[in-house]
Amino acid sequence: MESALCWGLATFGACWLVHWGLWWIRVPKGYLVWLPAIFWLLPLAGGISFFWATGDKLPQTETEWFAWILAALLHLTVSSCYICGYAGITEYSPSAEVLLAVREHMPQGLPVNELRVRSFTEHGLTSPRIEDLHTSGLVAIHDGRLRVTRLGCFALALSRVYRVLVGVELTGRG
Amino acid sequence: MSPAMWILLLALTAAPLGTWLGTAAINWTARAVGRSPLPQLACFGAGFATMAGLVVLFLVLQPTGSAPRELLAGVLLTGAYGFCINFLNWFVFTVTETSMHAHLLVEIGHEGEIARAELDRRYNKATIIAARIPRLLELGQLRLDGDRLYLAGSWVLASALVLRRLRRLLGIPPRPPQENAAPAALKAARRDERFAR
Repeated sequence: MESALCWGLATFGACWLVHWGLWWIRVPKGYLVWLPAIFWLLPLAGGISFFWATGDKLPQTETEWFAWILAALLHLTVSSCYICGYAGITEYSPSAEVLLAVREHMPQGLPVNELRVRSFTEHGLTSPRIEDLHTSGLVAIHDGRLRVTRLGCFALALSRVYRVLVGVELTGRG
Repeated sequence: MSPAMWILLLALTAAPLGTWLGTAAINWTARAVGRSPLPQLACFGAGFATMAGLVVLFLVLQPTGSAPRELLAGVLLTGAYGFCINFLNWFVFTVTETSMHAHLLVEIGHEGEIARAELDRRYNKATIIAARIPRLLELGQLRLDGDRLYLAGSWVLASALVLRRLRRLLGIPPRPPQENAAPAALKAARRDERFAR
């Protein structure tokens, strides 16, 4: 277990350093391609090349195989969390800005009607996201009017099925 | 591999499905007893139960022996794995619940076709901020006393501060564009002009 924990975390750490180095050179567009390539394909390719080059270094015992599988599972889940959570790094959270605005008025508290979130421009929240939906083919824009494409309808249906199964209202509160 | 190793591996691979089923079970139970579900809390409840279950299962099975270092490493590994599964389960739910992308798609899909101005009237900075306050109260991050809001919890704020540090580390601006920032406003206005065309 000790080697599984160390290898799992070390693999994630090494991939994160590659990601950090690349981002300092230039933050690439399309992180949904770059991050899986760095965190999943790179260690996979590295591992395969390593075993191919040193065939006799394959795990010899069941305990070693068990440790390798656990290390891979740990790296896979931690890196999946990082890739999913990366949206939270690049896209600013309105909830966090509300909390920061309230924090400025502690300990006396902030009257609800005086809550002003100065970060975010009026269209800074919606315009880039509409552009994202447009470029990803979920929404079509024609003559200043927006409509959902077939792909968008599929995404909506998928979301509805998920929400019905999980036992909540059909649409989120935004 | 020994049966204990197989059982632990099976439990780890089944954990995501188990967490999701647990979330659904909590929400459906709340509905059955006539209460409105608290889905974010259901996600965390099911997630932490799974995490605790995995740690206990490891301690019972002890697949690689009972040496203290092995036990500690096993607890840390299963705990970290369970925590990640918890996060991923919550994240998938959050995408359908709070994601602005998802909400915009729903608003557009609801109407079939909608003018940009009408969409802005329905879903804008004010409605987005207003939707966050009940959720932050529900999650115990804010407290409403009379007509005043107070900070009550710390984990959302702490996560936001961690994300801010990560942005700095990765060379991304740590705060969003401010309301009075002329270049950002100009950029947004240009984008809107493009949509209006």
